[in-house]
Amino acid sequence: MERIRSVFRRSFLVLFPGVVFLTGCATQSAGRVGPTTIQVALEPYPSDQLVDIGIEVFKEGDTDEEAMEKQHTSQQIRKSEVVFMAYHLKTTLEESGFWGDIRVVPDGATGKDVLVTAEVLSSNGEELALDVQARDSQGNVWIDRIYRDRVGRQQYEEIRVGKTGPFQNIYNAIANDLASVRRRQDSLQVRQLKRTTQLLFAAELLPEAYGEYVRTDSNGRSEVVRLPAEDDPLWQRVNQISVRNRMFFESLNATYDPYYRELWKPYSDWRRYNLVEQLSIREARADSIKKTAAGIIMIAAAILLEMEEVDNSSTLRDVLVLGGAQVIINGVNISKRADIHRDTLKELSDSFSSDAKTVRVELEGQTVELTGNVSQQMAQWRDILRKMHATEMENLPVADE
Amino acid sequence: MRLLPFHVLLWSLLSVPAWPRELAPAAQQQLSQAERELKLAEASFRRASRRLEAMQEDPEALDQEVLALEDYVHELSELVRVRKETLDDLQALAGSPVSAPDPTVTEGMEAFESAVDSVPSAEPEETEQERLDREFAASLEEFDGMLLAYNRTLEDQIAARSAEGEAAASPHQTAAAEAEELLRSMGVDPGTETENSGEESEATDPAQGETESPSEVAETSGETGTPGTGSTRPPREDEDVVARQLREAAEKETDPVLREKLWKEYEAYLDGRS
Repeated sequence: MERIRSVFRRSFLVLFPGVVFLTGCATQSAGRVGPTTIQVALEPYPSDQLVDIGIEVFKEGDTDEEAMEKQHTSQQIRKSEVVFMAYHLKTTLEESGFWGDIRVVPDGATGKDVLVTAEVLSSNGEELALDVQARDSQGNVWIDRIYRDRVGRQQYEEIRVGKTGPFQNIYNAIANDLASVRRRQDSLQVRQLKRTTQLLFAAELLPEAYGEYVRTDSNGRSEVVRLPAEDDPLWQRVNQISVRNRMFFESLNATYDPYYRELWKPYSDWRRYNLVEQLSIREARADSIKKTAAGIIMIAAAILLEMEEVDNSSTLRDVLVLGGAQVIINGVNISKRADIHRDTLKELSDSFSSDAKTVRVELEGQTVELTGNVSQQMAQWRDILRKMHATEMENLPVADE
Repeated sequence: MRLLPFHVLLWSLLSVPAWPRELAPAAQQQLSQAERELKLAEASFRRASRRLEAMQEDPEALDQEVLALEDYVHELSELVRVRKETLDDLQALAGSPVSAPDPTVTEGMEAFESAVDSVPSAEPEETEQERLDREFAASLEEFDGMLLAYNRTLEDQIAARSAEGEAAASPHQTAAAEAEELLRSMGVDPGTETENSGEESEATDPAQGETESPSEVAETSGETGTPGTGSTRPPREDEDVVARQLREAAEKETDPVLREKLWKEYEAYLDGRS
């Protein structure tokens, strides 16, 4: 359904390019991204104009056995690479220099001006396809697009470990699309966006006090309707919690960082061999088909010769039959080679996914524990603030009639 | 409540006996708790200050992040100051050594203490708001401690991993090396071949085969009873067109098991004809 909606939207935007400009949304066709250089900010924005970005760990997509086999990958590998991909997008965005705080965040996290989510549609050594959405705290859609790319061996020669991968074009394209929307915003729009982010955080923490400061319509668009006093003690406490929330994201990313760096080389190796094996399998199959077909033609020709009783054709006929049979044998031999390539691929996948799983389970243990502790703390703060607010309301002087 | 005459109170204060140096258990516990809390706050302040220094020297650190951390360090320094004052107060109360009480004045002291207890406290009782403020401040402090402990553990883990080196952290390298060897044995170069490598690799295999000496092939034959590793063989004299095709197929085949079968067929065909 999401795909249909996305395709419909893209068709609509092709017909009405003006709408693209007005909404600031980057939507394009789902074709291959092709070579894409990342755009880098010439001058940094002032600190109060820096837009913060949160990136959720990518969704794994369809990981049933049939889908995984078709994509020459496995569920375990997919589980490992979705964390890697989200973090790699973070490092790519940091290279562009357009943004403030960029963090990989838990699902549904608040406190970021723009939230990026993505689903992996396919991923192996040869192809990567991501369905990416980016929406700001005001509810505006910045990106709603499928990014797809197919690579060859050349892209693996151009890898810089820890910096650029074989599918760097996709990450650069996402970064460029986000930057394109950012550049179209003036300082007032950014201030309003950041204020909305702050108040939505406060409203989630203490809806009794700040729920009415932001209005959200049925389309998910949010608008600030009131501003809190800067010297409001309750607001100051909310800001103190907001600082801790940012520090939590920082610790979470400090946990992801070594995982990302440790996984880089083995993941790149697996993808490279995955590509080579896929190419070899296809090549072996094509050869096999050609040779088998050629063999059948030769035998058919021999039968034809016999039927037509051509003089002195017996030797030629024998050659054709035997030669044709041999060519067929060659065809079968080559298809066996395809099986060997496939087995090697599976062995590589199993080895990589097993090791990646070990590292990933350790990562999950740490992040789940940290996230759990923080959630518990947030609940406690929410409770204290609620009581503070209630006490403040009780102590408010009653107006004389 | 009946207040004691002033001269009785004054006499009682002047003759307050010196108490033993040892504190009551509850007071000792309070003092120890205050010392622990001060150490915790000082440790947190030191760690956060080091982190702030590093961030201030980092040209890539964002202003927003630096400002947030500065605020945080300032809050920690305030916490250290407050706790130090608390500890100083407690130590002052418990600090002066006193001598054992004179049993002859015990009765007067008891009355004095009773009178003091009955005087209402000069300090107002804590309001609900103040209690909540205190609870909030304590929860912030607890969170900060948790996060700092987590970060320290993470740094220790990363340092330990770096110390172990790459060998311990990449068993994939072994799998990758083995895969590379397997691919090369099948005539596929994982790193340098172009898209049309299939044909090229087939073309180069006979060249590789030709470098192997007949003696190596002979030795392998002796061990296994069948032709093994040699990619090419000199053609037999009785080779005809079909046999030549079989031989060429065997020479081009990169799979050793399948190549062996083809060589058997070649031999069987020629032996059958003869």
